[in-house]
Amino acid sequence: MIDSPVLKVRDLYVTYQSSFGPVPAVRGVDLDIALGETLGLAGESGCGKSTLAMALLRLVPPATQISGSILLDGQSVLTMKPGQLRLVRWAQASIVFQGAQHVLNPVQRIGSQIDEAIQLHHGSTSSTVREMLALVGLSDGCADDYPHELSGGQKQRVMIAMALSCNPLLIIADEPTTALDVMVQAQILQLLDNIKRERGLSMLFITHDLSVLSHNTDRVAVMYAGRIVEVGPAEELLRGSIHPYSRALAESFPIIGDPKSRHQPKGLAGDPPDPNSLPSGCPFHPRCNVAIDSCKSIDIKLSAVTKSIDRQVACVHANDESRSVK
Amino acid sequence: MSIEAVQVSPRQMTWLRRRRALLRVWRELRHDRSGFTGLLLLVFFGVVAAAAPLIADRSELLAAAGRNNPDLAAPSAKFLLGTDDIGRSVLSQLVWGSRVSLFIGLLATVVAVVIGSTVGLISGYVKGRVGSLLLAIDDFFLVVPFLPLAIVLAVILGRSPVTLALVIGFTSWAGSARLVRAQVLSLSERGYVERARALGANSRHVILRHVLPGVAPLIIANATLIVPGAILTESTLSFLGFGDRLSPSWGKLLDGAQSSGSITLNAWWYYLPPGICIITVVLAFTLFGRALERIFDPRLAGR
Amino acid sequence: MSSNEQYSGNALLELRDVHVAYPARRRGGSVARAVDGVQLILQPGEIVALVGESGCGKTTLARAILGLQQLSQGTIQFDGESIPTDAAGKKLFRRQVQIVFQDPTASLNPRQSVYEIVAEGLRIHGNSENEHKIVSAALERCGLHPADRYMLRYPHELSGGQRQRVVIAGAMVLEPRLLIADEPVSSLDASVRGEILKLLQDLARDKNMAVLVVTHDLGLPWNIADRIAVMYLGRIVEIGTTEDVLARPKHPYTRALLSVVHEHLQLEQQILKGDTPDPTSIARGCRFNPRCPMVQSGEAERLGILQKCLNDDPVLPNKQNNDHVAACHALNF
Repeated sequence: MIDSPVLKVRDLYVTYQSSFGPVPAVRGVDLDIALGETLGLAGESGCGKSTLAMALLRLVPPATQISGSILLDGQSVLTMKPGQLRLVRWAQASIVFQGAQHVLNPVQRIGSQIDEAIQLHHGSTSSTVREMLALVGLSDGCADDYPHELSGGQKQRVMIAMALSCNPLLIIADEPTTALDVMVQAQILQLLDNIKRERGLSMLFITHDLSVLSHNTDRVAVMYAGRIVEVGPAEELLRGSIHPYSRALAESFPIIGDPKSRHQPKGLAGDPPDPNSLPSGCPFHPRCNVAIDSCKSIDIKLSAVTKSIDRQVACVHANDESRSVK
Repeated sequence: MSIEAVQVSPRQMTWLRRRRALLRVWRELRHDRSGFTGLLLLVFFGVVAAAAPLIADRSELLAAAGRNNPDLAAPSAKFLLGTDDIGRSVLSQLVWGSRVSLFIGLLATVVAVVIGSTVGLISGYVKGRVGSLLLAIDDFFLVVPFLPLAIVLAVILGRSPVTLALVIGFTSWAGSARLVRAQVLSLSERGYVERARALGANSRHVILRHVLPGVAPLIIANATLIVPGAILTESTLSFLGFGDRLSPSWGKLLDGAQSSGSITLNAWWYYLPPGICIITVVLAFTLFGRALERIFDPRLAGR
Repeated sequence: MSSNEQYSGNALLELRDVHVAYPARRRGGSVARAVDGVQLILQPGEIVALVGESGCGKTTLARAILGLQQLSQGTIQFDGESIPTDAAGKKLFRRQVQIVFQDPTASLNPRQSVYEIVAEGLRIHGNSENEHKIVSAALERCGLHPADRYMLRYPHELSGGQRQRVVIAGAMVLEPRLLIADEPVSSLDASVRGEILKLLQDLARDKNMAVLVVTHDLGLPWNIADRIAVMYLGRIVEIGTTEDVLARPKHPYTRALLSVVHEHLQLEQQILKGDTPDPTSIARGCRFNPRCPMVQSGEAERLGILQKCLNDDPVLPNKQNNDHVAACHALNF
């Protein structure tokens, strides 16, 4: 599967221009997503996960510098002409955003907004509005509604319908369930899961909430300060993180019923770093409880761990026996 | 990290913060070309008004003062801006007139801002009958044609500069009440107001500590924009003959110029200077006020 | 783990049949019954989590306890007495019940320094002696040390976690006996949440302060709460110790909620259909019946309770504090 990934990102750097000077939001990221695979990308605010998602389709402010390579179905996104790029957006990869209410046009009926997405890329594979609504579990009647007449969950369904309207290979879901209630969130996750399976889609699922990743993704990558610090099979990584940051992140989502977390809330001291002024060496060292002196100066690169071929970790302790998988 | 000295009391801190805030306003104003020009012009007029007794003697304003001078004389070395129809120096009147015009403009603004802020604050903060009643009064003053109202009031109340200022102030507060009310409505929905309530604060505390500090910059910027309106109103009333004969303002000067037929006689030195002064002061206040508004803009001053 | 001895003595807070109704937005619209008959008892020093989806009335209930929301029916007693209505009594009550809001950024006045924010409560209650000392101690206690370094800062100079600590410190200077925390960590970064929860838990233990945490997240009560009350459409439908409710949920709603948030119990996922329920149209009979998996699967009919589910409003049995009870007709079999 890895031989022909749908998405192949190598050494990606994204640097914003702000009034304080250049801000390195993504600093050397490698990613592969195979056909039909779902990769979860977890991290906190400011870690660069959303920037990464937008950079994949070059949806970044004009002055932003992107370097490295992004291959989407074998085509290089970074060298594409604007016209070709527009085709690729939606037709090959489309994004489902977090706040559906801000993305939908409030004065246009749902049906015509979905139709617009279909018409924009009138490919032979495009489908009708009715089919799309049915696919995401909405009734035909919704086509005549305005966005404000729908609930948050329904709006997110409309967003998904629009994203699917051009039959993309890859869906980039950026916090698709964050603003929703637990039960509605479960409905949307189930819907995404079903569609993914039926259509053999690949998905990049971005979230700050690790708890939604365990049964919705195949692999998980954890980002910190613009870099991936650990990547591996979802279940394995969430239950037995190796990097101290991913371990702490996993512990902030307690397993209910686990006596170890009962009356034992766990968190990290300090705050996520400001991309404007990253700490020296390993950017996690000021918050790390197992940091050694060299962490202050040496930034360890993401590399495979000895005991598992599927996992990569960026930590000096990655191969310590004492810190092994639980 | 350790630059902020450890031994600063909260009181000193408050002063420090106020000074820092003022410095910020000053710095931004320096870089705002039109706003700074406005400020310089205002300083100029302020100095002239303050120094009026040094520039011209008050006795020159009396009708008797011009008895020995030529009427409607063109500017000369003796009369830099010529004389009016009864031989008085136009410059002297202009200089003394700046006092009256600025005084009336500022006093009227104070009156308007006090009424406007109070009404705005109460109608924004107090919901229910009192709020709606104040809102209705505000609406009335917004739509009532204010010049006839001001004329009627001026006729009833008399024509001294103070009553004129009160009349103008009383007829021009409605807009600022609206503005203040909107800001108060938005401020009283803020989380920190709810937090203060939960701490046990009464309305007095909430208004003094949270609402007023939030609307104060807006009130100041708005006040600077009311002044030119007030000055124009004063000029209009004086020009229409409702001014005070004993303390000539720029509007009164224009009135004199008009009734003496200076325009047909081509005595430009009589009608042009007061006109230019009015325009310049109004422009200066507007430029300065707009600059303050930009600096204090609640959408930008989030912190 | 759950300390039974602390339930001796008098209740700190007692809610009886509390209702809060919002008038209809439009003419002819229905009244929103946001809180619709809640009984709840809080003992001194215990941490109780009020769990539910948005619109279930949990925030309205919290505001009602604080006196920021008028009751339309029922009583709230604090320390055995009704909440005072006169200004002086109200002030005294406010002092003893404090709140921590969801969004620390909004609850801090950007024009005030940390010192002024924390001292605000003391100043409101006219307690200015040793102000500096009390503020300093509260900041340190809430993990902002050395306090001197933080006192003179402004909210925008702090991180989200630090801001929430300032809010908590501002509440703690009044030494409240009950702290209401409305989604205290949901706007914070995940890695910071644990530290704030730990702080709340430690404060409750050290000061014998009761805490009512309002949350939509079931992991949070597992971390810090002694008891859980699950709310659905304005009612508490299940209540009990955290272990009981989370390990052996009785109400089908609790079971469904648990099934979608974690897999530890190996519950089969039961995703309820439909949107978050609407407090302006509460179903007849059991308010959960339109979404209840037991009704939909026919199990209710098999048990012979379907008619009850559709017609009778189940009541939460009124038992001892620690008892695990739920308002469901199926439990009476």
